[in-house]
Amino acid sequence: MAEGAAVQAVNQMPPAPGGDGGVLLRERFMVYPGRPLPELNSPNAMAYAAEDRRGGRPVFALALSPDLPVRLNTIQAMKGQPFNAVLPLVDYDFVLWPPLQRQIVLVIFERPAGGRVVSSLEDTFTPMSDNDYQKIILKPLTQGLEEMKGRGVVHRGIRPTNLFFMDAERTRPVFGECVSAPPAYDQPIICETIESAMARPEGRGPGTYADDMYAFGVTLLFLLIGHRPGSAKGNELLRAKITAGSFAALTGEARFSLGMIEVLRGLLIDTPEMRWDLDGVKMWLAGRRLSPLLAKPEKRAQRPFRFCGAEVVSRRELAHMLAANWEQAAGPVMDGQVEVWLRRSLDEKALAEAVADQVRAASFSASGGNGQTTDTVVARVCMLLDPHGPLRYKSASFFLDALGPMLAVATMRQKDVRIIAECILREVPEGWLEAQPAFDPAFVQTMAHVKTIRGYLRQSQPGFGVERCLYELNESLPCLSPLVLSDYVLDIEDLLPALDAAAKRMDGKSWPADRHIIAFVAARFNFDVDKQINALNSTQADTSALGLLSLLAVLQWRLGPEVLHGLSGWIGGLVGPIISSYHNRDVRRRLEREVPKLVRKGSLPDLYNTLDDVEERQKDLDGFAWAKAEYAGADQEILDLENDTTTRDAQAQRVGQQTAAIMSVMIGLITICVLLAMQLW
Amino acid sequence: MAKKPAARRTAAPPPARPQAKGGTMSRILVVSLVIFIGLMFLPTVVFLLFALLPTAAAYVVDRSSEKYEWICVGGLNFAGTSPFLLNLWTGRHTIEAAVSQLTDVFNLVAMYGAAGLGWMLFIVLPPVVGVFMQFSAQRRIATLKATQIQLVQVWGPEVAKLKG
Repeated sequence: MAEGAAVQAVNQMPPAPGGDGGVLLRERFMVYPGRPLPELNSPNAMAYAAEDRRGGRPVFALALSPDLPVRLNTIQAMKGQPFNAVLPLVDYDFVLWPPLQRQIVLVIFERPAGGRVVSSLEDTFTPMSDNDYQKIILKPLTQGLEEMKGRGVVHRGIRPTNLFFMDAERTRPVFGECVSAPPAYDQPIICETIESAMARPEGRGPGTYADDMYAFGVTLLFLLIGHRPGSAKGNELLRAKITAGSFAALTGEARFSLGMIEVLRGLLIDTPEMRWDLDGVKMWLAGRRLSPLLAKPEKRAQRPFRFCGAEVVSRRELAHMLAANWEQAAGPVMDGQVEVWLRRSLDEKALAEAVADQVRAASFSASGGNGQTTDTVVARVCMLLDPHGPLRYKSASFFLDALGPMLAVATMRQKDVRIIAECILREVPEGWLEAQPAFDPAFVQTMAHVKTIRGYLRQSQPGFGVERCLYELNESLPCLSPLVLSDYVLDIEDLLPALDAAAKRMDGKSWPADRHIIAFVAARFNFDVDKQINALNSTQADTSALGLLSLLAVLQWRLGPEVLHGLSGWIGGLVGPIISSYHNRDVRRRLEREVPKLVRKGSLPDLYNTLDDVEERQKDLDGFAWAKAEYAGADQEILDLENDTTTRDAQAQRVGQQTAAIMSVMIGLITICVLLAMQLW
Repeated sequence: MAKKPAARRTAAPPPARPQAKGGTMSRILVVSLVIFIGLMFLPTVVFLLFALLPTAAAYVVDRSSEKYEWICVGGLNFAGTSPFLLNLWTGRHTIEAAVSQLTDVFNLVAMYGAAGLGWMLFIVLPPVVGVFMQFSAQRRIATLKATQIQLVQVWGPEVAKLKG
C-alpha cells in the first residue's frame, strides 16, 4: 500500500474462504471469491479472479469496500469505454458477496498481463533511456490522459503504484482504477498538490485536470529517476513543498536529462493556472520547446515564526502548522503574536490587520456574544493566511466540494462527525468563501448549498440532521441503515423491496424506519413528504405510526412494487396505536378484523387508506364529541338530581298543594252539580 | 341673581286625577248593591257566614303567596254546605230556617267535617307528591347511568374525561 493517507486506509474485508463457488455478474462474468489476486489489489478494494463466460479478454474483479463511498458516476462514465492507456472498466454490478454476506459493488476490469509497474513507492529500478522513456511511458500515458479527458473523467488516482502494463512484455502502460474510493483518497502526499495534500484524504474533493497533471508529473519523475523523488516523507515533504516549491522539493539532487526539466517543471509548478495542461505536454512531445517556467516562490519572512518547536517562514506554512497543532494554535493567534509577525517580519500589513480584526471580534464575542469562538478565529486566521488551502477546523481539513465524502467516510467508518457539523454550524465555510482572493460566481451557489445543509443540521429530528446532509451531499451513497445495509440500496426504488426482505429477519416490534431510512427518503424521493416526516416525528404514538405508514405507502404508491407481503406484515404489527386512535370501539373491532386481510394483500396504500379514512375519522371525532357532551350532560343531570333535594321538596310541596286545591274545587263542583241534578229530577 | 324656578315647581299642587271620583263612586255602588242583595237574601248570607267559617279561617292562617290552602278547604267546605243551602233555598227561606240548619249538630258535622277533609287533603297530598317525585328522580338517575355505561362501552372510558 502506498504511503500517507493511503497507508491508513485499511481494507477490512476478510479473505474469502476457500472453494471455487463463483458469483455470477450480469449473467456473463464469473467472479471467484476464493481466488484473490493480491497483486492487483487497490488500497481499499480487493482483487479476485474472474472470467468472461463469453470468452474475450482476461478479466479480474475488484470488490469495492462497502465502508467507503464509491465513484459511481465515474464508473458509469468509464464503463465499456475502449481505453488504450487506462485500465478498461468492462462492467460493474451490485452483487451479494459471500465473504461479507452483503451486497457490494463488483467492478470488472481487463486484467493487465504485465502486472503493476511498481508495487511500492520505495521500489527502486534502473531508469530507462530517454528514448525508451518517452516511447514506453510518456506518450502512452499522455494518450491515457487524453482518453480520460475526452470522457470527462478526472482520475485523481494517478500515482506510480497505480500503473500497470497491459501486455506481458511490459511495453503498454495504463493508468489503474480510480473508482474504489473518493477522489484522491488513496493518493500519497507526494502525488498531491500542496493544497490537496493539506486536506484530509477524504476531504480533497473531486479536483480538476490540473490536479491530475500534477500527479502525472510526480509519476513521470518517479519513473524517470527510478526511485522515490525527494528526500522527505509525509508532513516533512509537504513542508518542503511549501517552503521550496514542489519541483525543487521533489527533484532535489536527482539526476535526469535536461530535456525532461521543462516538462517536469511545467507539470510540478504549484500555481494551477501556470501548470501545463494536456496540450502543453502534447506540444512538448511534438518537439516544441518552451522557455522553462519559473515558479513564483512563497514570500519568506525576515525572521521565522517559532511555533511548536518549528521555524515557520511563510504564511501558508504557518497556516499549515497552526492547523496541524490546533490545540496550541489559539495562544499565538489570540495574544497577537501572529499579527505582529505578519506586520513586522512578513510586511503583510493588510493581512495583519485582518487577523487583528478576527481576534478583536472574538474578544467582543466573549463579552457580548456574536458566535465567534477561539476555534473559529483560528480557522478564519488559517484561511486568511492560506486562502487557497483547505478549510481547516480542529482536526478536519477539507475543501467545500468534499463535504459529502468527508461526512460519508466519517459515518461509514464510525468516526466522529461532530467536528464537521460544528464547522458548518459555526459558519466556517462562509469565512472560507469570503477569504478567497478572487470571486467565483460558483461561490453563490456553494453558499446557498451550505446554508441548506446548515438548515438540515440545525434540525435534529429524523429526516434531518447529519444523515440528511449525508444523502443530500453524496448521490452515490447507499442507504446506511442497518436494516438495509446488506442490500446496498442506492436508488430509492430499491428501498421498499429491501425493507420487505428485511421484514423476514427483523423483530416485528422494531420500527421499519430509522434515521438513515427517513433521511434517505427525504433526500432521494422526488415527492413532497414533509407532512409524512413531520407526522412521523410526532411524540404521539398514533400520529407517528400513521406518519410512518403514510411515508411507506406513498413510496409504494409512486414507485412500487405492487405487493409487499413482508413489509405489510411488519407494518401491520405496528398499527395498534393507529387503530387505538379511533374512539369508537366498534370501528376499532372492524379495523382489527380488516388489517390482517389487507396485510395479506400486501398493499400499504390500501392499508393506509383503510386506517386513515378521512370520512370515518371525521365521523368518529363528531361521534366522540357528541358522546362526551352526552356523558357530561348525564353527569350533570345525575348530580342535580342527587344533590338538589331542597328544590325538589319545594316543588313537591307546591305541586301537592296545587293538586289538593284542584281536587277540592272539583269535588265541590261535582257535589253541587249532583245535588242540583237530584233536585231537578 | 334670578330666583331658581325649581322652588316654584316643587310648591305647585299635583295634577288632579279625573278617575278618582269615578272609582269611589263605583265602589259605593258595588257596596250598596252587596248590602242590598245581602238584605234581600239575608237567610242565605247568615247561613253561609257561619257554614263557611273554616274557609275564612283557612284564608286567614294561610301565609303563603299562592293561597292554595283556603281554596282547598273552601272547595270541600262548600261541597259539605251545599245540600243544606239547597234545603234552605227550596224550603222556607227565613232567618229561622237558616238558624235551624246551623244549629243541627249533624249539619255542622257534615259542613265542618267536609272542611276538615279539605284540610287533610292539603296536608297529605304534598308529601305523597314528594315521594312520587323522589321515585321518579331515582328512575331517571338509573336511566342516565345506564346511558353512560353504554357510552363508555362504545366510546371508551376517555368519553368520561372532561378535557382532551
